Amino acid sequence: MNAPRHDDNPLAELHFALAEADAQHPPTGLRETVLDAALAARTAGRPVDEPSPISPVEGFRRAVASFDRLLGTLDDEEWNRPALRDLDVQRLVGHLTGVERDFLTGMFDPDGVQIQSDHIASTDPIAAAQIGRSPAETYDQWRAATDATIDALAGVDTSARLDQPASLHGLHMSLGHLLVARTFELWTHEEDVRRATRRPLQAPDTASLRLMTELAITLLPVAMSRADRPVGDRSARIVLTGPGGGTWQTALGTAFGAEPADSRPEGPVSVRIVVDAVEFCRLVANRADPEALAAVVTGDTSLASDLFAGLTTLALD
Amino acid sequence: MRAVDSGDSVLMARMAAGDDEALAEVWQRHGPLVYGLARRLTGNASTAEDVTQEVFVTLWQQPERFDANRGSLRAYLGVHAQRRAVDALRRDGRRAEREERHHRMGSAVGSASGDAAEATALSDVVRDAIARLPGEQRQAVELAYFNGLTHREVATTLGIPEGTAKSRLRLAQAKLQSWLDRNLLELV
Repeated sequence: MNAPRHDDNPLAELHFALAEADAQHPPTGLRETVLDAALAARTAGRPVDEPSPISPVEGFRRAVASFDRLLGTLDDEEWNRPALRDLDVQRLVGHLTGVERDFLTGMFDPDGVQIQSDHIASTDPIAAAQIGRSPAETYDQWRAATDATIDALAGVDTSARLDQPASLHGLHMSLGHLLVARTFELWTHEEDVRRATRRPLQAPDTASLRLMTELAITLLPVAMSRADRPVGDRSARIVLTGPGGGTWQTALGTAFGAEPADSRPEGPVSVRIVVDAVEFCRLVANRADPEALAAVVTGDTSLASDLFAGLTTLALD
Repeated sequence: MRAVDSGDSVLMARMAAGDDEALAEVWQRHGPLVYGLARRLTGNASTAEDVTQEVFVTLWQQPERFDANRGSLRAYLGVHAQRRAVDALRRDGRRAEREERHHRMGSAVGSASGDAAEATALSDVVRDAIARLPGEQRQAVELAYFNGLTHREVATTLGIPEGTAKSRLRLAQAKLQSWLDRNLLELV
């Protein structure tokens, strides 16, 4: 526990430090009464500034709009900056055009038989095809591909279609989840371009971020399994702080899907992790070093390390 | 992963994220102070329980109102306990005189000076006053004031019973009251 700051009102701090002399054990039962009253006034698990929910389609539209705005600010030299792997910004946008086309196919191909399962190999040809083109041509091609996706999503917002299976590059999940994964991807590549062009990083809007954190938490058991990390019956309590955050408790070795913290699943929690929601998303996007992540971890720290390592495997890249 | 401070600001960020375990931790740490203050100021166990409940429910509903840059969570809760106690006294017309006295005190303690130079000067005055305390009392006050420890933690750190820790703080309080502005430091 760090020493408190007394800069503003040292007398008040001294007053209440001395008031420790008057501390009294509260009467039996008052703790439960107070905590019950608090939780009745505000449900556990939900952030205090919870945004109005948006649909995955709206989250995707917002991510496209944000990336579009960024591209509109780049000059020709910036389009040539190295951005990710061996891709410069222009070829990275080409890669996204390829993802967009595959996504449109995958929306109607839940078994994923029509497109390659490798995210990078599937889009390499269109990324390479950008060499020698003008940035405007690359931009127009990407914009046409995203417009085609958005047109195909018309009317999907409120329909059961979001719960239907879809696939993309080996991922098989509901169309709604896949759209959030795409939102995640667009934001991640937007940050890649921002890093490449020395622009400040920018968190997604809070409602989109909330969709992203919920998806990442839901995929925790998948992440552990993908990373080949045995977890048995262990569970984790994850507190994501800041806008878009929340509190979840999840069994890591069982079925896919976290429980909101207010449902209080039975059994002890193996590890408790507190971390900023945006930093958590950067970890999931494989853009943050698990070793450098500023997190408060209590309980099984080795499980936390496994969990962080597992989360980075969710990134498509 | 990198270890980070798990102090007041993290506790409150957890609360804002809906972590009810953080609320339970704040209760464990500061519940006795809030209840003790309310009990002492209102002179009534039932009213003190109501005040304590109001303070913690409000904290859970509006955690974002706490600003760790302006002071400790203990002082924040203490100010709110004091204000709620004054409100409770105000509702009881028979206690008009007591109310007036606590209202003056609550206003003085609860408001930040807003003047950095004045706050720095006050800080120096407080430090000097604490330095003049006898050894055992000074130790207890330093742990509670500079390190932000509760009475339980002071007792554990010094290896003394909780009652002894409270006595040392109370004796120190009496001396500091005579050296500093009495209105700001008195509790009754």
